[in-house]
Amino acid sequence: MGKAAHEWIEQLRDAKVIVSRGLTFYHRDSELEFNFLVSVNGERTKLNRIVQRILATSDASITFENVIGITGHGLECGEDLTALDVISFSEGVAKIDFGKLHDIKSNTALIRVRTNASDALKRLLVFRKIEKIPQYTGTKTESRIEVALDYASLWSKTFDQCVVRDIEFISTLNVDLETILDEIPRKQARRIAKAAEQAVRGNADAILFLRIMAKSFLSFESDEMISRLRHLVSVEPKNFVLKEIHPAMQYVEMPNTGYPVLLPGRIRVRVGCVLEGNQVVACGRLVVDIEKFTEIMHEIVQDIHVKTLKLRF
Amino acid sequence: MDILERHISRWALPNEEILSWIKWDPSVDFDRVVIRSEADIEFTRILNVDVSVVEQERVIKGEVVIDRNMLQIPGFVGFTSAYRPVPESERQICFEVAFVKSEKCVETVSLNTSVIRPVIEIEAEQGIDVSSTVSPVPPATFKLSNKGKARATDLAPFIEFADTGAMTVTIEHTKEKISYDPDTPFAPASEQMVPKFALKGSGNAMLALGFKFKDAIGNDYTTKTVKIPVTKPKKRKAEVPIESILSGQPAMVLAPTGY
Repeated sequence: MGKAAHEWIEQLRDAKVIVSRGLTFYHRDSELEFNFLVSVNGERTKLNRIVQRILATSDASITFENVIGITGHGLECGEDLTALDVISFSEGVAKIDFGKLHDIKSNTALIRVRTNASDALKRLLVFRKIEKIPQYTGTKTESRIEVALDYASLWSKTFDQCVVRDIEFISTLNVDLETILDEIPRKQARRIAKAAEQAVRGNADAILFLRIMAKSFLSFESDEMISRLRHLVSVEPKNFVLKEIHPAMQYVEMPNTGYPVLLPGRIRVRVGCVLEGNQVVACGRLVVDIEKFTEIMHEIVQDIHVKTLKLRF
Repeated sequence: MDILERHISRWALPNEEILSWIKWDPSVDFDRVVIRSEADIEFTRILNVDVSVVEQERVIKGEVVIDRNMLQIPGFVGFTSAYRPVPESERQICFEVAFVKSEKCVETVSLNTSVIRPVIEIEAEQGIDVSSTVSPVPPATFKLSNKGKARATDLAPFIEFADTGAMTVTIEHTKEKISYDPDTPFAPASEQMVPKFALKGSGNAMLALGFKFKDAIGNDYTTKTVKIPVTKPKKRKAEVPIESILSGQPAMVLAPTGY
């Protein structure tokens, strides 16, 4: 939005033509959405009448550059402002023609303009942090998530409403697999080692054992398992939300065997946060239930045991 | 004075930003807010203030002065800071936020956090003796114990001092294949680097060996060194794998590594 457009908007605001201005900053995609609530046949202040006269007689348009899209409709009658030529969009430039507002039957219209914001603005407006070293509390780990907004004047004094959405935290949880592998019963571990040894010699049952084991561990990537993993990670309070959890498989050596198995060594977690209204800061928690993770591991190990019981090597 | 909210990051690694804020009743009357910490704390950002605050010379000395009219919205101030040096062990950091009215301090808020790091103690299991006929040569094992709160990663041995006489002792990293694939057992899948002592010549030697390591954000650390006697009667080249057993990691199984 250029200086001239800004001044125009200020005048329209003073004249109560623009009755409310809102700003939504989509942090992840670095996009700004300006919302203008426009009074078409609103309060007839003296200033309003002057502005209305200007609007009727001159080129009363405001242009926005670097625009992704513009939408608008009348609130009461639902008129499409694009169809009425009140708003238009071409090659990244959007135009609102306030002079054509009188074509709308509704008393109020809502116009939304979405623009690209620079990455610099993204960095300047929002400071976010997730603890690198979580705290261990019994069977769970807890990492703090912190968000603070800067340049309060920009969003507080200029806009009536301001929301920052999609503040995203992508965290990779490194699973200490050696600790988890220690949970595998020794008898089972010895059987894995023996299978590895016998498979080299061409024992078909041993090869089958290793395949079954690999497939079982690979089930971590299944939709069902991802759904279960979602239950072992939680975020709070309500303005934080767990958006995605996805395991990344990696090799780890079985203890005392030297045999590598494929396990979810890393779990990618995507957390989103929304800050509304006067909220300038937020503090949340990312909690990981290790006991539940170990339970899943035990189930898989048990499943391998049952499926391979009849194999001889 | 009505302080509504105070917050500071629970802990941080060296160079990791510490976030802190205070919210108070906006109707409270005061002239300025003064934030103080020690001189080796770097304020990286002051939130909700005029840009002139950050340009103050005294900021680099660990003091930030914010006149009330410099606040963009009332009742809130925040800051980010970082501790740059690597501490020998954990270090407590204290920030004091003072509200001043008519040159008198009307309220002081203390915010405490700590800078943490991995602290690894090293112990050599035994010396290296290549005189036995056992093949391959058994690994030289080092017991490492993390006494710090932060996790240690990327352990790598280094030799600081070597009194080797006629013998040459170097550390080499050998690529070893992990040969396993879920569908084709023992097909080449990936490689890992295994550190080894490469010993040439014969005689007795004394090494001082330590380990380099990193924390979750890539800060570099080193352990103290341990002395290891080396005995090698024959001239033939020998390779001794280096095995490090790290214990005492913080009791955490899952650790976020960033975003």
